[in-house]
Amino acid sequence: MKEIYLDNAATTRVDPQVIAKMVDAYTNNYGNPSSLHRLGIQAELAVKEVRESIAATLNCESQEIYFTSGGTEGNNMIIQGIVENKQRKRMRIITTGIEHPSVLDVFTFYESHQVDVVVLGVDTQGHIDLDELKAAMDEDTILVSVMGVNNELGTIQDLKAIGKIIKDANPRCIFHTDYVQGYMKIPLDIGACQLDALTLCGHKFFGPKGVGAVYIKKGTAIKPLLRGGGQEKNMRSGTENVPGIVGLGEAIALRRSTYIDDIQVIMSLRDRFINELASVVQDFKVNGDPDGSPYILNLSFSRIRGEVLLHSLEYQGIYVSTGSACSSHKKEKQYVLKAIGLLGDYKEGTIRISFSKDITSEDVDDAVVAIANAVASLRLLVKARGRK
Amino acid sequence: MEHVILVRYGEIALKGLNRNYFIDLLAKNIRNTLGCVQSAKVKKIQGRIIVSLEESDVELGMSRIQKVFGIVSVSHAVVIASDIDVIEENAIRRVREAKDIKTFKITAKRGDKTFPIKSPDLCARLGEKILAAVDGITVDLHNPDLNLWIEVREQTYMYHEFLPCNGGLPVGCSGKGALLLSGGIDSPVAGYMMAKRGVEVIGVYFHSFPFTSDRAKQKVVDLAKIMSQYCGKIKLYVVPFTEVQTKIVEMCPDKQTTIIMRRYMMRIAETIAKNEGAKALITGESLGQVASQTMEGLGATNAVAELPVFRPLIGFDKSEIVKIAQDIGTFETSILPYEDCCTIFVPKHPETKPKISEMKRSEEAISEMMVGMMATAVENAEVIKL
Repeated sequence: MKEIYLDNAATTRVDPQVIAKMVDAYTNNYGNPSSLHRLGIQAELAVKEVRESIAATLNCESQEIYFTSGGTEGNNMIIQGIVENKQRKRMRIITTGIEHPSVLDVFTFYESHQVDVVVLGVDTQGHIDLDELKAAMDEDTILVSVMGVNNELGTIQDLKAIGKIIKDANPRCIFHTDYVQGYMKIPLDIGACQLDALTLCGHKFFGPKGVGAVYIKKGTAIKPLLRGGGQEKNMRSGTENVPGIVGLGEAIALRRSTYIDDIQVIMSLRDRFINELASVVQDFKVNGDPDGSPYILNLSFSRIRGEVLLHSLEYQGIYVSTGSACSSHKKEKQYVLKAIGLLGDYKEGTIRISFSKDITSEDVDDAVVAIANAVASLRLLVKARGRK
Repeated sequence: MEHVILVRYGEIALKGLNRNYFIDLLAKNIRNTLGCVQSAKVKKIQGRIIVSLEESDVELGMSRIQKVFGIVSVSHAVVIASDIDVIEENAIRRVREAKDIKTFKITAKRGDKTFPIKSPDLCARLGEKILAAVDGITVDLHNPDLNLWIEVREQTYMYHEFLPCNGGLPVGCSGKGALLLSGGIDSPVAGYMMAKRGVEVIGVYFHSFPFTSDRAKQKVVDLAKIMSQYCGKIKLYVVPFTEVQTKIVEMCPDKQTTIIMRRYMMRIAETIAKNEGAKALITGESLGQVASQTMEGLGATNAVAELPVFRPLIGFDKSEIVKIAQDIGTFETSILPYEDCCTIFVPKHPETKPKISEMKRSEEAISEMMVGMMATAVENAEVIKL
């Protein structure tokens, strides 16, 4: 059976060239970067090279890049690191209601620890209200965290305008973005957005799982989550995941010169998907913002359970998601859909299609036919029930 | 020193002329559960089963054996020669090495009547020797910190602890039963209860992909695996049920779909049971727990089965079932949330007092095609051995 993988926002298949580089690193460059001997230096150099390449993609200094185990650690490291570092009586932190759980849950945790937590609402497309942010900013606000590209909807926030509001109101307030779904997909100017911190991870663009990085602007005081050997300038102790970092570096090298051009390609795939689907299926909605990330397409079908549709598609070798893979472990599954006010008939029937450069228009056509068939037969069942 | 686990069986000791059959079966079940313990050797002696094994394997061996049905209690004992000097020496050392005890008691049992000292005399003699040899210790016959058992047989077994087990009968002695196993809390407990009465359990799980995901199936496999610690090897049938279920939803009145679906589950389970030589069906139903488990509902599903249907949880409250599920370790797996996509099949207003005649009438529309569909379901069932 042909496999059509449309769950690239959950994770991607690692590029064979990335694997080759990692195998080489595991085999030949196996030293510990902290070791004083030649093998140690060789490993340190490999890590340094990737650090510099990430810095180049973000247009920052390489000393501002720290390696992590991925997005969840990156978000925790920054949010916890900033809150724990400030020993102030009054502290306010601000985020949005549609963040990834690795942001939202940390904020909720601090709510019960005498921190004033503000969670901004979003409109039906998933955009925050800039005036609400402006009103929420005050002298005591130490951190604002806003996801650049939403993982379920693909909605892109106007980080530039958000940054301006934050810094105008309180220049000392730290501005962080979870950019896991945006890095190497949607270009970002961290200087223009006045960002102080950013989270990225490798496995969303054909890199390995278990490795990521954060950008933390020089001079931003953060209390480290992990203490120990003092690696990453004391910010993240633990022997560096050298092969993972090398893999991350290779994934970036493979994407960085082409990803901006790819946006057009992915956009035409997404548009094709929507148009084809509209010609064969009725009563469905496209959630999010048409000008959002083309990599993520969030669809709601009336009178259908998203999970059942997902499994019917799986049966035909087509892999999609019902939301973020990370939050499918959680009881409160649909907080993002709730936040955009998705109602009634459509609430249950949501799936997320997420593209990659490897998807062809033929794949799109096949997936659309499969969805149309599955939706039709599932709706027949519901209709049969309704008749009686 | 040789280490053994002493296995005491209760009810089966009373089984008269069939006793050896029961004991052999129990020994076999113990051997099976100790498959993972390389050093273990199982043998029968008068009134006991003895498992000898390396000291380092005792803890694992005990935990496995404690889950086997047909056992009243187990003790970890050391084996010494049935020689009064050796017994004295070891008893003294055992009491001396015991931590945090102020009082002790000796309970001696002379199984080997050629041993020259009678049990009460042996108790007294050992007590005296220990009092003389160990400082700061006294005898307390009623509530001792350490009750040291000395069981004199061909060899002598010395131990101080009785670990209670689950009782019941050895699995297999009561024949086979087919358990309708869902991913929920109740059915694994029902299987456990019947295995306790010696039933060899076969699992029958109805898989409605894509309405239930492969994770839901994996959950049932995991549950069966946990149950197998008690029930012995379990053969699990995964029956493809989508066709049957969707046909029922399409063709039958909405409020009857649950009961009719359960009637077809019973029919399919019975076919599998008969193919397997099983003599009963087992369900986790509990009276009044849900709409389909009213007396009328149970009657309607019961009516399609020829085999007796055992419902060991019928008089249990949910909280009691949960307690057992927690004790046997199935609860945590049972509450994983992988079955909630079946809601499309749950009628808005389910029938709570179904009449069998009405069910039959509703089934008329589908009964002919169901013959083929049920046969296909049985034929295509995946069999997983756990």
